[in-house]
This record gives sequence, C-alpha cells and structure tokens, in this order.
Amino acid sequence: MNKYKERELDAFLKKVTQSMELERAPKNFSIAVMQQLNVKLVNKSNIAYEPLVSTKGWIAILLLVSSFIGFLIFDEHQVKMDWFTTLKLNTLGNMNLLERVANTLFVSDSTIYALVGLLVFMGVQVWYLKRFFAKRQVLL
Amino acid sequence: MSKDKDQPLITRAITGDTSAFAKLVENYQHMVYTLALKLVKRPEDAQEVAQDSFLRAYQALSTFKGDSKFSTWLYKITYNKGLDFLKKRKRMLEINDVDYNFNVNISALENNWDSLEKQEQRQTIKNAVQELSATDGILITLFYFEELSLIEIADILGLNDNAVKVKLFRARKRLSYILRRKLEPETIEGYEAHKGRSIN
Repeated sequence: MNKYKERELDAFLKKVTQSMELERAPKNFSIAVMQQLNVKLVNKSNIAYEPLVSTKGWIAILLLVSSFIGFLIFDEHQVKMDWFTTLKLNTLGNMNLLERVANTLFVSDSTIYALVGLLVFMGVQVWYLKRFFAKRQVLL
Repeated sequence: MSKDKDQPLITRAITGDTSAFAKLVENYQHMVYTLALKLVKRPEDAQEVAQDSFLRAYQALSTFKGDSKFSTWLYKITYNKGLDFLKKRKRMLEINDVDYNFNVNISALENNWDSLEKQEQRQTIKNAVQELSATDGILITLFYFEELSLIEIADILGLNDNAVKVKLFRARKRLSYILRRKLEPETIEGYEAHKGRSIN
C-alpha cells in the first residue's frame, strides 16, 4: 500500500470511527467500585500495621544501650563488690543450679546434632512461611 | 479528558476524598470497561477487570506523578490487569497476524458508508471492531476513538512506538477488509467465486 493510499485509508477510518461508541459499563458500576473501595479502606484501618515497639521506644532503648556501652568503655572506676559479702550467700550452699544440673544430665552428640538441625530447619521455615504469606497478603 | 481537568480531582482523591475518586470513576468507567471487554471478551470478566483496575489505580494514586495524562496511566493499569486476568485463567491474548494484501477502493467504500443511515453506520463499525482481534480492537479504539498518540499507546501497551506504528498499520488494513466485506458483500463474493474458478 503506497503512502497516498495509506493516508486515504487513514482519513476514511477517521471518518468511520466517528460513529464508534464505547461499550457501556454495567448499571451502577461506579457505585459497585466505590463500595468495594470503602470496604477495603475500612479493612485497612481495622488491621493497620502497628509496630510492637514505637519509634520513641526504640530511641529510649538505643539511648540506654549506648549509655551502658559508654559506661563500660569510659568508666575507669573499679566496681566495689565488698557489699556482696555482707549478704552471706555462701552460707546457703552451692547456688549454681545450672552446674549441678549439667553434671547429672547426659546428652548424646546425636541429640545435639538433631536439636541444632531442628533449630536451623525451624528458622528457615519461619523465614520461608513469612515470605510466602506476605506475598499472598495473608494476615497472621 | 485533559490532564488539567483531572488534576484537581486527583489531588483531592490523594488526600482521602473518595467522592473525588468517584467522579474519576464516573468519567472513565466506559472506556476502562471497553478496553477490559476487548481483552477478556466476556462481560462479567470485563466488569471484574475494570473494577480491579480502578481499585489498583486508587491504591497507586499517590505514585501518579503527572508525567502522562491520567487517562493513559489508567488505561495502562487496565491493560496490565487484563493481561494478568488472562494469565490467571490460562487464556491467551487474542492476536491476529494475518496480513491482508488487497487493493481497496476507498472512494467506493466511502460512498457505500455515506449511503448508510446513522444507526446502521454505528452498528456496522461496532460489529467490524468486534470482529478484530483483542490487540487490533484496542489499537483502533485508542488511536481513532480516544485520539491518543503513538507514544501514548506505546506506553499503555508496553511497546516501542515503531512497533505500535507497524501494528496499527496492519490493524487498519484488517479493519478496512472487514468493512469492505460488510459494505460490499457482493464484490467479495464475486472475487471469491472468481478465485475459486481460477484455482479449479
């Protein structure tokens, strides 16, 4: 098709398509859209994300941790522990419960391997499931 | 609809004024529904795609920077929603790659067109566009009815403007072939009969 014919066809189609009409959306279409939108907005406000620790909380934690680290690094005074002996805790016997339990408890190597394996497996599963549900926008 | 005309409604909708968004839905519902129907073919599916498109547009409204017209941005969402719908239903986008090579007498075609009543003209072009494949129908609607530029159509379809130019050229030829068949059925029948005799 040469350029002239092409232009002629274009002009004809411009004329013809003036009689074109759009398909009509169903009756009450816009009302249905707005109803769905309102439902979404209500749901969104009901289940809006709220952090467990607020920004102020995180700032307070950060200040506490940094002041503790600062104290450990820059404080040159020795901590005096002589008040501890006044409690006379040594008279109560062996207080180290963990050591006592550890001495009597026997755990085989294979049990430890199995437990470590289980922990790793659970860690991976939690991460994988979290991603999977986040993708499908399922709220847990 | 112009960019300036929509902008106040968009600004109000972003700040949470749902009545402003309702006005946008009202203004664009028929075009969005038409595009969705051309893609998915069934009215009930088209309604679903069109509704999802508006909901998606509302969610993403704050990301609309105004680089393009709101309508172009909305049609792009609709087109992508339609493709997602087809993919989900394991259906394919209807494409017609048949290239018609024929000499059409435009003046004769135009005379036949002019002799039709207004109502007949409306019905003829409606039926002709319906016979086109989904992509051809969308191209013709966006270019001739919505009067979008090749660049705007390319943006909606995710193609480059040269590809759109080629596709539009072919869509035009296919539409003129369908129109000729509708406006000059006896000519086509005669040609087909002649062709049949030549083959035999």
